[in-house]
Amino acid sequence: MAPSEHGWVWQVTALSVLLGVMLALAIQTTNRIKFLGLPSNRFGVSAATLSRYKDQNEKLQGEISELRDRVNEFRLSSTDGNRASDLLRKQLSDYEAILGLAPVKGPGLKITLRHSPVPRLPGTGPAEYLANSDDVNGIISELWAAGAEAVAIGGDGTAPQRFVIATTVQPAGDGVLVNDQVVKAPYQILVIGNPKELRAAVRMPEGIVSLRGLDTLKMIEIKESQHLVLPAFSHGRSAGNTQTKNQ
Amino acid sequence: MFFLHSPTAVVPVTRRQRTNKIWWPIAGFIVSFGIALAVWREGVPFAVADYLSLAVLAGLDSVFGGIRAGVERRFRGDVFLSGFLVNMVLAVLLVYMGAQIGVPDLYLAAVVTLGGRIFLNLSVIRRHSLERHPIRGEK
Repeated sequence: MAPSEHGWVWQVTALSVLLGVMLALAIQTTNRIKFLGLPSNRFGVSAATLSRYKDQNEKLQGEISELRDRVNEFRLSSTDGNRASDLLRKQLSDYEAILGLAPVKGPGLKITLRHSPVPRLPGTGPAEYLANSDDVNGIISELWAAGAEAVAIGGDGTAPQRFVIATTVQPAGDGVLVNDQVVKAPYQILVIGNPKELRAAVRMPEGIVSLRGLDTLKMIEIKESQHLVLPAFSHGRSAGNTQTKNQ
Repeated sequence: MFFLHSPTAVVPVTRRQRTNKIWWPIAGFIVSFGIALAVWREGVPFAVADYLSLAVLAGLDSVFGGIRAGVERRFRGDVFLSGFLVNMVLAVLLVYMGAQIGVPDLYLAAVVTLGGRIFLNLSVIRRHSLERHPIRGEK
């Protein structure tokens, strides 16, 4: 029997088996492509179509990235002890402390300014022996310049008045007017900040204490304290005509 | 060669044997196709899918050509195997080249050529089959 009589059957059968496998794989792949909604005309996908898909892909990638960032933010705020709220609360607290809208405590100086107990010398006027609003304003200005963080002014029988941005110290009879409150001597200036730096600022040469001779006249007493407590500004004040620029 | 006692009986017996043998490749194809369809449900990677389809077409052409050569008693194993491989590679190469030079329809050349040959081979096989098993009343 010649080899071609039976040999062709097994060779063709073997390749037919292989062909059957290949055809099944091709059909399964095509079904999968259809199932995923991809273009079925695979050979005919033009460059324009491909480019459009690429653009859409990039756009969607951008959206994914943006949404992922937002998810991370929400996750942090929800799992990290409401971090965003805590940060806002801390920021608000700091602003209230700086603006005088909240009571504060800390180290600083307790400065007492009183009328001079020294007998009036000949050739001097009585006003020079009295503590006045200029003395208070001068001292407070030096304290702010030295890095004071919070200031309050009290007096004889008067609770300390928190010094805010709108606070003025004006002469009022035998005392001064602070936050619409009359404060009488001896005045007590409470200031929170670095005690050493604040003391150095008040005692600086050519400063208000030196020029006015407050030490000589024994009108000023400066004490350091580690536990000063300053009240909040207790008077209402609205923005009125003022608005933020972005409003 | 198959020579029986009667010259008139030689041809029908030999041709019937050859014609019956074409069912082996068909059976092998159907069985392997069914098994592969059930086993490999994921198919192949999409990057290969384009080439696989043309390779299947080239394989079909070679298999039908082999069957035809077998029934015509002029089958050569080396020609069959080399034709199977070269046709497949050529068809895949056409797809690849079409994608590279910006003529994606180049694969149509392989489709038309192979498709025409498949129909031609099938018609020859059919004719041989009809000659061995004539429809009642036909000579």
